[in-house]
Amino acid sequence: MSFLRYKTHIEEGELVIAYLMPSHNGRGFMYLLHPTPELWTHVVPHRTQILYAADISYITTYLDLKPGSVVLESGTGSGSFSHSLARTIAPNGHLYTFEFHEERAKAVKQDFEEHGLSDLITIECRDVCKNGFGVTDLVHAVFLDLPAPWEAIPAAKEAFKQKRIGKISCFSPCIEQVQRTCASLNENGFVEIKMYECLMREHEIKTIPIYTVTDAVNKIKLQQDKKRKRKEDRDEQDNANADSQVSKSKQDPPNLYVSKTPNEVKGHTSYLTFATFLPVLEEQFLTK
Amino acid sequence: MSVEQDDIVIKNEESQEQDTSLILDNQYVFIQLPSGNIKVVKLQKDTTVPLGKFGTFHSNDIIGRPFGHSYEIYDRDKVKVIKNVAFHEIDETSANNKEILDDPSKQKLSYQEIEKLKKQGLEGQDIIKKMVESHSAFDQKTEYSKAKYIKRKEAKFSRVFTPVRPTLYSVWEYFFSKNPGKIRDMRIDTLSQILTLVNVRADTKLLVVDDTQGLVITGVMERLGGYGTILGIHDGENHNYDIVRFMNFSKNVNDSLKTLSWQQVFKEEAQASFNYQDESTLSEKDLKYYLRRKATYERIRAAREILWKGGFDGLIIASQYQPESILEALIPYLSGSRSIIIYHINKEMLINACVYMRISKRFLNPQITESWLRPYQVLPGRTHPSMSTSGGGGYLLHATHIIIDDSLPNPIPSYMKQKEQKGTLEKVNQSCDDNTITLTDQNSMNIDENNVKILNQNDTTEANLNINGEEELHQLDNKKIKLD
Repeated sequence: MSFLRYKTHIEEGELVIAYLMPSHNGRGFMYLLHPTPELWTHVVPHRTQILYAADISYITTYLDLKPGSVVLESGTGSGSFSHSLARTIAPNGHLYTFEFHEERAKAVKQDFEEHGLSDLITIECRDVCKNGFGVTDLVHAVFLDLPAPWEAIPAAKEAFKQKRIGKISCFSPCIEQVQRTCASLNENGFVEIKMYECLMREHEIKTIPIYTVTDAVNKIKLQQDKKRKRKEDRDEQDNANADSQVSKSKQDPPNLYVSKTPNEVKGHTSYLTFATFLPVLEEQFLTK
Repeated sequence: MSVEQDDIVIKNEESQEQDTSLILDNQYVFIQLPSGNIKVVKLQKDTTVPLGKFGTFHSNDIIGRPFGHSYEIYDRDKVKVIKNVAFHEIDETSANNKEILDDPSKQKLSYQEIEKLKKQGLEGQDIIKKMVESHSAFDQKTEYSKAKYIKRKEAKFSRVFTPVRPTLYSVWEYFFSKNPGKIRDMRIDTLSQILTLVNVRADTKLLVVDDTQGLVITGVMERLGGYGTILGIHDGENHNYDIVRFMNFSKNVNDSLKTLSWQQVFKEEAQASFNYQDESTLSEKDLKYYLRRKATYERIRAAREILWKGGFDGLIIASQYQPESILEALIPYLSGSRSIIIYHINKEMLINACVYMRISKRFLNPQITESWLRPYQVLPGRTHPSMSTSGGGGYLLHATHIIIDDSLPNPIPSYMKQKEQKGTLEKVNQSCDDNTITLTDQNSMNIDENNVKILNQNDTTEANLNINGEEELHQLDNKKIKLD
């Protein structure tokens, strides 16, 4: 099944995502799902740290990606974000992605081929910090997920389409990286340097019964009754009238649906640094 | 047997696409003013654009230029491009705020004198320079507070404006800062999550219930880029997707949007009939009216056919109406293994909808999430989270629509009663066979691992794909019994 076209039926030899809901008795349910970049993120062989949905979504919008966008990405990593990028820029955009780890690049290239994304993605094994991207005046947006993004920023500047506005995003987990990145962006003439953190947290739903203080009193009375009964049993006093004053008919209390955040959630993924590439002024452009 | 969706027509008219990186005539543009405010203008050539106290400029001076640069107004209404910088490096000094007193008399220039300078046609930068010179205690300030002082004065006296390209982000920013209620307080990170979680992309057919003045529709239209169909279900008789126009979409993109009112969604609500007439017999005035009525009638009839044909690839809801009622009305038109997302600024609305989804057989893994966004100031030596920020961007309820044979036992038991999960894998596979699903040559249990990526429940706790919610509900039921 294609990442770029939805189908309604599964064909032989096609990729399907199976969602398993095992039960404790060894049986369970399996749902066969159409592949999407989001599902692929969950099943991709974890060759590297992957990006999370909140970051992917925010970067995609901030970089102004849509069908037709030409994007540069480095490093490719497990190719998970490449799938999301390719999905958004299809059918007439293009993604140039660079990975310096040779084995990883090979494996991801094969994924792209099997998923029908080869026409949209060009992958190259290359150390961009040392050797640049080898492309100039080509892309609308740049995404850098590198240990030292500041080393690649001068090359990124050249990769942008020179006569139009462009957007760059750098993804770094440490604040020291952000500071060096921002200094480099400033030196290289990028403007509107902004930095964000974006996280998504779940709210779990459950029902809680609403008891009143009357219930609390009844509970104590019930316990007292039990105690008394036990005592009476011990004393062998056979008294049939020792029935409790509390009504036996237990009524379920009304339920309330409530939500709560999990006790432990993701507290940090990475800092997202964004900046704007300014079109080279025409006068300057001509003299170059 | 494969059924490709046949009603998606690939349109290849790239030559007609305008270059969105240029400022063009007859298009919307956002003008960022020195005060930080944004003014929206529909730019017309040969006109003068007033910017209030910051001056005016001639539209022709910026039409045809690329977006990105800032312009300074000089000599009343002339503009020149100025060099933008992100920030200036600041050297640390030994100055501190020990001697600084809050004393307006330190500024020797009076308001009247400043007004006089402005009238003399002094440029913003020169006025600020003069103010710094006549500030008796300026040198005592720290470098940071000097920078702050200049920034404050720039907001007041500078005449630099920046034309901002309408993008989903800039259009959202404008409406969110101006009137967040109008877009149901939806923050851009939440909107971005809607677009990725529903897998909005070219060549899809989407159902969108949008009461956010068209903000969601705008995002969906942009991500489809004219490839595919959007069916917007709107409140009232006519749609109110006011925000769409600010994006300067091409005809291609605008044509991908079809709309229906809630009344037109339901089959039992008959469409008012239309009498076709011989157009040659009508007067010019009558013909105009007749053609308009005919176009409306045919548009609605076509849109209803698109809806009733079904096979939609996703459902997005950002509406004031009860989510459960919307699901009841629209789920029949959604294909299997497609995403549903419901937005609401109030979590309570989604909690009931989430319970409804859990009890129903048709939704896999319903989940409520909230997005958290923290902007930072990053300046050399002054990096910290913004002092004030948006308090909340709304909540999302997300699930996957699944096709289930109604004769099968419910795989997700209604947790209020059932304790044990029933049903078997074999039965599911049987029903799969009926739907002509073939995974491999062998029978379905022997799955070729290369083709089927297994998403195990246990693997996905980190990825928030768990279904622990149900289990917890059971546990809670048990606790309740104990308490009794």
